[in-house]
Amino acid sequence: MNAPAHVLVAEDNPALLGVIALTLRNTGFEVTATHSGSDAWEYLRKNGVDLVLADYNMPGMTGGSLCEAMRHDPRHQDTPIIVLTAFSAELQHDHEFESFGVSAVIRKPFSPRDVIAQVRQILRPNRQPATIPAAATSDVPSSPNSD
Amino acid sequence: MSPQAPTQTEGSASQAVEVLGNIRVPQSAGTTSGSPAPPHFQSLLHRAVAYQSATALVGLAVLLLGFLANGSLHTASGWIPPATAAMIASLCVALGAWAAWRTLKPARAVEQQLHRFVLSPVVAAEAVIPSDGVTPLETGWNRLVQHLRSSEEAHGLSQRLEVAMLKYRQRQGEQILNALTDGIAVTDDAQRITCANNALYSILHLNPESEVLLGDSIELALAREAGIEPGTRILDSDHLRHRVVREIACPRDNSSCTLRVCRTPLAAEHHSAQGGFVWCVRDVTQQKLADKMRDQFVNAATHELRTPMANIKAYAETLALGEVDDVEQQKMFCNVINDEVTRLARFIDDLLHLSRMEVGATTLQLQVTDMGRLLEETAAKVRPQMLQKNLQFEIELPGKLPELIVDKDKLAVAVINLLGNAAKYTPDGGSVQMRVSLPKDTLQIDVEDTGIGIAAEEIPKVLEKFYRSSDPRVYGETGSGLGLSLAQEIVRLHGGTLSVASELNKGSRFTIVLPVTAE
Repeated sequence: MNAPAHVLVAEDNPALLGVIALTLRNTGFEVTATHSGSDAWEYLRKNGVDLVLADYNMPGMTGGSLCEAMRHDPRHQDTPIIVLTAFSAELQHDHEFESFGVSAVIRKPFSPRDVIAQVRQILRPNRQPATIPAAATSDVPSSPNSD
Repeated sequence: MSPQAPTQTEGSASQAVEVLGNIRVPQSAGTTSGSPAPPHFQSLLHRAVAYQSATALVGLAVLLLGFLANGSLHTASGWIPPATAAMIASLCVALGAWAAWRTLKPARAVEQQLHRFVLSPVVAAEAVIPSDGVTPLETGWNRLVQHLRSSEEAHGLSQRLEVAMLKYRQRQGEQILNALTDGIAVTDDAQRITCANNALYSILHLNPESEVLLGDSIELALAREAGIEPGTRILDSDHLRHRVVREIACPRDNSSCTLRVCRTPLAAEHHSAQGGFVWCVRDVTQQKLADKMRDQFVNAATHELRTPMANIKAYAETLALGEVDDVEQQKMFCNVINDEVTRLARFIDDLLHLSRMEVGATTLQLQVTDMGRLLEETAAKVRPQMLQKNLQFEIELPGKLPELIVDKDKLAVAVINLLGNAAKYTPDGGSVQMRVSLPKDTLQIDVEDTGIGIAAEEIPKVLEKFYRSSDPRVYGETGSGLGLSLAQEIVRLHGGTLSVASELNKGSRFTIVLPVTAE
């Protein structure tokens, strides 16, 4: 039996992070929730995941910087990335994300079901289990006062 | 010689009178009038009669001479001797000649002048001399001369007026061109400048007193300004018959500016030919900056609107799909939705207030306000927030605070924003102080905390709209980045200032200074 796909979520908005993580877990994914780009990268340096779901506009290490760092790391060069953004398509076109090699862009506000659908669509063709065993469901500690 | 000669002559003169008397003078080209001959034709009529008299005298003399040739002249009173007849005849001839000369002299003078006009290549160069006689012909000629002279004077005046108007229009055109802030140039087909206004000199950093653009290639002049290789076309040469616009970046000392160059073809007299171009060069650096700031504003506002909406949608949909069974968790979800709606409403209110204040559309509801009471009430509103985080909240007010004429509701918003920020960014167990003092003619409100502080490089930006520190501790708190901007705008509308001093990880102090006007 295959292990559930492992999704890392990086979102600085705690309420949104909570509901995305909840929906993914309810759907059967293994979820690691992080509150910032740097927390996510800290996790990725030591662990492998099947997909990264990252907010674009985060303090410190942004979603863009996280994508860039992943593409420079041989272990995460091919890891699918979904970017969440609150910027409108008129002001931030999808092609701006192409340089980061993202698989999809989801604009806020979004339906959690749309997120699930996108994650499933991206993972289905070459479903790979997590290469490095991680805690079943772990939330990486966030920065102080971030909640 | 026929004895009927005088009768014939007289008959001719009568016929002439008859013909002249029947003349109809054309009033305008192609039309004739039925009115009688005008006065100058009547004068000619009189001349003809005088001429007839002189001719009659000459005819009489000729008759006498005829009889003389026959040897005698028989009259009713008897025979006139030939010598007497000859004398009478001579006298008649002399009188006739004198009358003819007298009559024809002014006509001859006029004829000579008219002859000169006919022969002269330049009619206007010929002097028109009035006659000094008083005969009808001379009087008529003199009136004609007078009319001609007044016409010449009027024509000269008209020409001088036309030249003056032309010069005035040229000067006015130059003034209008030089009053424009856009650089304007007119070029010929080869794009050599034939006319340029002062603004173009200014945009190209040239001195119109010492440097001349006329005759220069405008392409070269613009390429020099933009630091582009000479010979590189600024505007393409394929669309010469259409208006072409391009923006070029020009390096400046420490920055760069953007020039918008527009070339419009001028219509030639003949459709097939090119009539040169009008070039309009506008410095759009400020406009570009404003566009960029507007985009940033829209981007930030959009982001701030979408973030709570994302939470509301995600939580509401999760609840609606029944993915949360636990009642406590359902309540928590509802609270999140409620908080986000409140946050959204506050953000929209702040944004509207700030926008209205910035464009001067907000009027302050000024009233005499007890500042001590206002600050006490404001502190009471944030006290629960302080207690929730176990913060030590202290207020220091002087014994007696003056009454100020302020918009108390708006000023309360400004102070609440400062106190709310202090509570938000001060860790549990920290302290917040509000101190009020009265330095020289002012009322000073200091809000000081022992919070996370602001990095030195971020201090100048914290009062900007939508600015939020990149400190993760700030991002962990909800906020739109509008509170401090709004506070600053409110204080500014009251004629005061808002300043900030801070040290990272030690705390911040925000200071409002309001003018105290003596009653």
